[in-house]
Amino acid sequence: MENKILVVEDLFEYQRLIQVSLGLKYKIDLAETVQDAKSKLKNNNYLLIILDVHLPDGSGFDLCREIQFETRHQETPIIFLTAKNTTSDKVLGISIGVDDYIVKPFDPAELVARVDLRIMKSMKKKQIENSFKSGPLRFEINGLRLYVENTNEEKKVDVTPIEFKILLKLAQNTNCVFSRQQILDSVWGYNIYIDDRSIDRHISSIRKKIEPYQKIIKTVSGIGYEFKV
Amino acid sequence: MAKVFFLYDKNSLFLKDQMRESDQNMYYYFDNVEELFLCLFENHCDLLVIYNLQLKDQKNISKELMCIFELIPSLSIGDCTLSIYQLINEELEKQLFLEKKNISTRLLLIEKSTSADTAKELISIFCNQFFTNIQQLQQHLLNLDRANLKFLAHNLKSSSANIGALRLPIYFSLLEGINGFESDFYIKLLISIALGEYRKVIEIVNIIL
Repeated sequence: MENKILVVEDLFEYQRLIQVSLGLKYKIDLAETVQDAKSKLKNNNYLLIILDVHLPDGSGFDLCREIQFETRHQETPIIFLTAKNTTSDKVLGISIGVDDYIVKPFDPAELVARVDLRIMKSMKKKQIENSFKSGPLRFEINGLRLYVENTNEEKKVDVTPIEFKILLKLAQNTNCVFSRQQILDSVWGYNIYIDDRSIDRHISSIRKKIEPYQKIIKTVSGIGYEFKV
Repeated sequence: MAKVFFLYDKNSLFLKDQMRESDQNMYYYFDNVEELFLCLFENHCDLLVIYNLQLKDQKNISKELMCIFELIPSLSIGDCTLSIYQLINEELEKQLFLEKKNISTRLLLIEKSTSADTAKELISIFCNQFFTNIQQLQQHLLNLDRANLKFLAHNLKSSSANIGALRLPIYFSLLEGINGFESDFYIKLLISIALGEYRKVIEIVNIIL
């Protein structure tokens, strides 16, 4: 994803102030109306969305609700930046589930700090969701990358996508015994004929690659394999 | 030169006679509220001085119009007349000082967080757009288009607060909050007061820059 923020704001002076404040760190995409914002959201991914509430063709509150329903932007943090400063407005904004509510006029330094914080938190959350750790192994799920603990640091281990999937399946179900057929079904899917002994060859390859932790994959005689930390 | 509106009654006529020629302010004298309001449409009032006596048409002042008294910077002088001009000038200075201080603080903050150029740019945007917006506001009032009037008032509240104006956002907040029960007279008066305040803000901004 690009380093891009969507700013939905109709007042020129605030557009400029936001651009000057955040422009050095982020690429700013400006939208002046709800319609404009919707078309930009259709074609782009954003790190964060800054939303004015009072827009010429609709309400920022409604737009926010729509954004939250879309899968594409569900996880994107949203900040309301508005001159609506009554408690009831703030309560309404926060109850929609917005990440922050900033009242105009704002301090540019404060805006930068809040935007940075929201983006950092959202990235951290994505990183945590993408990462899975079991015993000495850490999986980066999106990148199919595997790391093995090596004294005080981590060592990246090159595994094939199939090996990654087998190992992840086992590691996510510690102490559960899986038959070869179960592993085949979950990794390759149903209706595909593969000799279940090919699993043994993959397990043998994985064990070599994760040395000295090869023993965490236990062979359960007559059944299959088990991940034991 | 400040414009001071003086509301008096027959018991305080002597104040009018005491007006000093050396005083630099411009004084407008009214002995009834209706006349005062009509004049407010045409002239900006920097300070309303109310001599605390019974007004002959006080019973006709609606609650709505009483709000205007709260809006315009005012000074109630009671029976004290000795240092009246000094009081007026002190009050005017206080008003100016507060407005100036707030605008300077806001511009300094923007300068500090961004740059001096940004602060200047924002002021020039404000100065260039504001007058046109006020005219548009008056047009919406003429067309009885309250929805657009409220929308524009919200934007003007936002714009004026952005450069640190103190009183302007209050007037626009009131305009933004109109709900259909207020008279056109009240709205027209609010717009007139705001227009005068806007001119004052422009003067302050020019001094600061």
